[in-house]
Amino acid sequence: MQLEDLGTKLDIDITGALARFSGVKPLYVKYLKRFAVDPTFTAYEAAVSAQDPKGLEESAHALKGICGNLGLTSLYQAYSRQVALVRAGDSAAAFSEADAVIHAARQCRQLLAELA
Amino acid sequence: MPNRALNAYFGSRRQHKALRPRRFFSSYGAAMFIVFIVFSIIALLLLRNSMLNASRDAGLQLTQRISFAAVSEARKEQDFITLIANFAGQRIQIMRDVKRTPAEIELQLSEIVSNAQKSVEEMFPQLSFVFYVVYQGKMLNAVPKLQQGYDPAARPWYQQAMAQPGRAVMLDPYIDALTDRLVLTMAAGLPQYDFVLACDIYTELSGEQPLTSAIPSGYSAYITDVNGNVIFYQGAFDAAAIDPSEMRRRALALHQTAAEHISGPGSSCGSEAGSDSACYFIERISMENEPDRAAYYCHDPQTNWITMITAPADLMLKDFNYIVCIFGAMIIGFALLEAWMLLREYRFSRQIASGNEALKVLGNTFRDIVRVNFRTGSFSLLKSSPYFKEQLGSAAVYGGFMQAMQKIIKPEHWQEFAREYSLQNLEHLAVNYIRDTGHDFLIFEDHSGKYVWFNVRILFDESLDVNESLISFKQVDAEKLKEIEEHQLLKDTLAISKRNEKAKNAFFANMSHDMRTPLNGILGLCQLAEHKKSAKELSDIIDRINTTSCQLLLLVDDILEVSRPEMKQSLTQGPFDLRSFIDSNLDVFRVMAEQMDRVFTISYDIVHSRVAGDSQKLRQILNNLISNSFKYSLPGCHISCLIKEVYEQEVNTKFIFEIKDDGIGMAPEFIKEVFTPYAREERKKEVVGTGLGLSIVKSFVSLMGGDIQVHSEVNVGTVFTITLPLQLQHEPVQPAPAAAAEEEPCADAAQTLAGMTVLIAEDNELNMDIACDMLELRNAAVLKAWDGQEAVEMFEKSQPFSIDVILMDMRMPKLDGCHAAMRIRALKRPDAQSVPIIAVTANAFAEDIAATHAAGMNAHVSKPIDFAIVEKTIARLTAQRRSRTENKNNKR
Repeated sequence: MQLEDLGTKLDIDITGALARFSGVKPLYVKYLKRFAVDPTFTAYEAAVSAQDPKGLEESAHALKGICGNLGLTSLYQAYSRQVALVRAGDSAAAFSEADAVIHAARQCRQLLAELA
Repeated sequence: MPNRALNAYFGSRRQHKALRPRRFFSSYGAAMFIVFIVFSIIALLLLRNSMLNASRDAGLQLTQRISFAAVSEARKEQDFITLIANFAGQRIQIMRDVKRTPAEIELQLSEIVSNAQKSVEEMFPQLSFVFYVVYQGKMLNAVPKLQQGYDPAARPWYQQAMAQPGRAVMLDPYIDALTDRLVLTMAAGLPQYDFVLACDIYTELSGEQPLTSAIPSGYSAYITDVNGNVIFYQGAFDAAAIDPSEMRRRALALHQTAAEHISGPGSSCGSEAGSDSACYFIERISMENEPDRAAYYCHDPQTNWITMITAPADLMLKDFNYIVCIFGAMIIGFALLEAWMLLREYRFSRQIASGNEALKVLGNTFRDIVRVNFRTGSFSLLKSSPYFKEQLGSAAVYGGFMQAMQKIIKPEHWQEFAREYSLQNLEHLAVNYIRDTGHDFLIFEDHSGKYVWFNVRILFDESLDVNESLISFKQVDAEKLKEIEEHQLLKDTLAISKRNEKAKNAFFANMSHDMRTPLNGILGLCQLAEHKKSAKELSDIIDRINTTSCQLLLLVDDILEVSRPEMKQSLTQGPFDLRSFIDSNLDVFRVMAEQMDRVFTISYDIVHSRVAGDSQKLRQILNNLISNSFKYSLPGCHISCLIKEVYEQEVNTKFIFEIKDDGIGMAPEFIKEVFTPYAREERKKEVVGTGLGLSIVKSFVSLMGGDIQVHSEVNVGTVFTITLPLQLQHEPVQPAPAAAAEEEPCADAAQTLAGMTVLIAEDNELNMDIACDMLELRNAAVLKAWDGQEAVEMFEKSQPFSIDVILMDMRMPKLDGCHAAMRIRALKRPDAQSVPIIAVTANAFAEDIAATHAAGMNAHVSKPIDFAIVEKTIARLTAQRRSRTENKNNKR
């Protein structure tokens, strides 16, 4: 799959992200593919599984930063909300929404793994 | 098992189908009822069959007895005739021996026959008999209306009697030609005397004289010969009223019908022991005038007589029908009873299900329920969470329960719990009929990994064993926290109210003094002016009145500002030139500084000057803060105002206003209340003021979406740092000449990073790699630090001035960005103060920017990182650094 095809399948701000990467497309693609296997997501899943609010907040915060850098808009917003919920003390709401976030993240990672 | 107990008490998710067992039992009952009905029907059929068999056997026996009785009677008559004939023969012989005349013999014979007839008629009154004697070919007692030329020797009875001498013969019944009645003739002959005794027996009976009483009512009995001639009839209808030929026809029809049934299916045969007669039973037979009858049929081979008895078919099952009716009534009764019980059970089940659901809902409000027997010191779990169960282990005595509780309850609460929930106290509560009591405790919860508020109640009720109580645990964390919060709020409100009251009292006391002082001064100056004649003196007095009035006006302005709520809530946005606006508005402080012997400086670190915002509020903010610095500083002190731009994007640019003095500072206790209305620093008594200035500042800053921080030390000084978002205007503003040196930098930003060494502090590997790649693309050398602590250490170990800039993430393990920046700034090395530190933050709130500024960071870029902005920021900061270094060198 080519980078241009991603726009039709993912909520991704390719233009904005590429601008942040100074227009260096190979570099951008490299980090998109890195995100597909990034262990931070595993840490997030583990925190959700263990119902660990602190771990959830830390991993979601890191993922939020990565998604922001890579222009993965929906995921960036989802992780931002997770962070905000935990910081507001509503861990239960964060955990209840986490499954949907994981599902979306897995789909995204799968698509990114198919990038050429 | 606790779970069983739990289910019994409160149900469970599985008990959602609680009605199933009861429905099963109801179905089972219905099935049993059906089985009962089936078996009952089978039993009734068997009973019917048995009754039919018994009825059949009884009927057959009756038929056989009647047949036997009829034949026996006939034999008796036959024997009687034989006896009379033999007697007559002996008399004939005797009389012949004594030479009696034939006439005397004939007379003797006539007497004998006459006597015999009388005797027979006495013996068988229901029959009619006619005796006659033939002696020497002569009929001695001729039958009336005997035909002329009647020859007895030609009659069958005579011939058969003479053919079988010594024994009476019985002829088949026949219709007497004279009487047209059925006659059964018996005759005994004695050929040696040429003597025959005959008897005609008329078997037709009258209704008053039945043959036998053994025939039940409704039964009909026929005795016929093989030709259907009815020898005997007794039955349901009056035979006398029927024509003999009709009777014969009926009998013959019955005989034929019986013969057909005997040869066909549906008949059964039976014979009594010792009898050679063949008997048959025909279950259902229909005849003219006698429909639906059961028939019994017996044939006597010796006489060739046939005995038939018919009975109403339904009469056989009369008793059975009674039984069936009674049984049917019982079944209907039982069915109605079962239906009523099912209906009752269904209603009862619904009530139970409804009750169970209610109990389940009530039970689910508790996390754990423990049943305690305070006599035996034992307990059982009616409901519990897995974590609680795990803590309890295999404990079954109350001591084990308390030990488990001690592990999970907050240590400060343990003493109270141990006291209130001891066995002695449980017993005490039960004895005193205290049914419901409880307290709130913080108990550790594994899900959240923290202590959570639980309401632990002791429940006692007579429905329990007298020695038992329930202890229930209900999580009330949210409610309790809210209650605590509300309680705290009330306390705080009360404290604030008291403080406000105190401050207000102080305010009015001060106000009274502060307003009276200038007013008295003005009045005094006015009085003085009346006595002054020279223009110079009057001018001097007017100046002093003016100054005092201004002072008074300032006080009134503050009071009015606080009391105008609409001012607090509204912003007047408008474009203005920040630099010009500040220069013109703060110029008065330059004059004041000269008058009061202070050093006042204004400096700018901004790129853009044309902004939009509420300039009047900004003016008041700065005026209040700077005038405070003047008020609370001593002659010779330095007061500075720094305006700094934190540029990100046009829509998100913030400006930092730092007002700094080295005055008397503030006590730590006062710093906590520095923004409280009417609060005033009392260490400098001569300062005039309302105590509302900083409260107004705080209010305006918040209204403008900014943040204000204060750092102060007694006798060292005070720094107020205000961060305000101001929208940039498109019209470029030429920087003022005074700041030109600081503002010139980033013309060639793209080439700025080449050859530079950048220290990056970032804990996420992917983000770190992106930053490294982007910086290396720009030919910068990168040093990686994975947390704040490592960043400090790497900077400390590096050669002075070898690191050109630091990119510092805010949230990192071990040491966050702000603390790392503060430590770097605190290092004793020549570049510690000058090395540009750029904060990389996820949030761009004013308080975050204020925090980074307070930590000594030079700039701020927000995530996601735009490296073009990073590059520009680095270019600007390095240019400023270079400029300052050059300035220093020039000064030297």
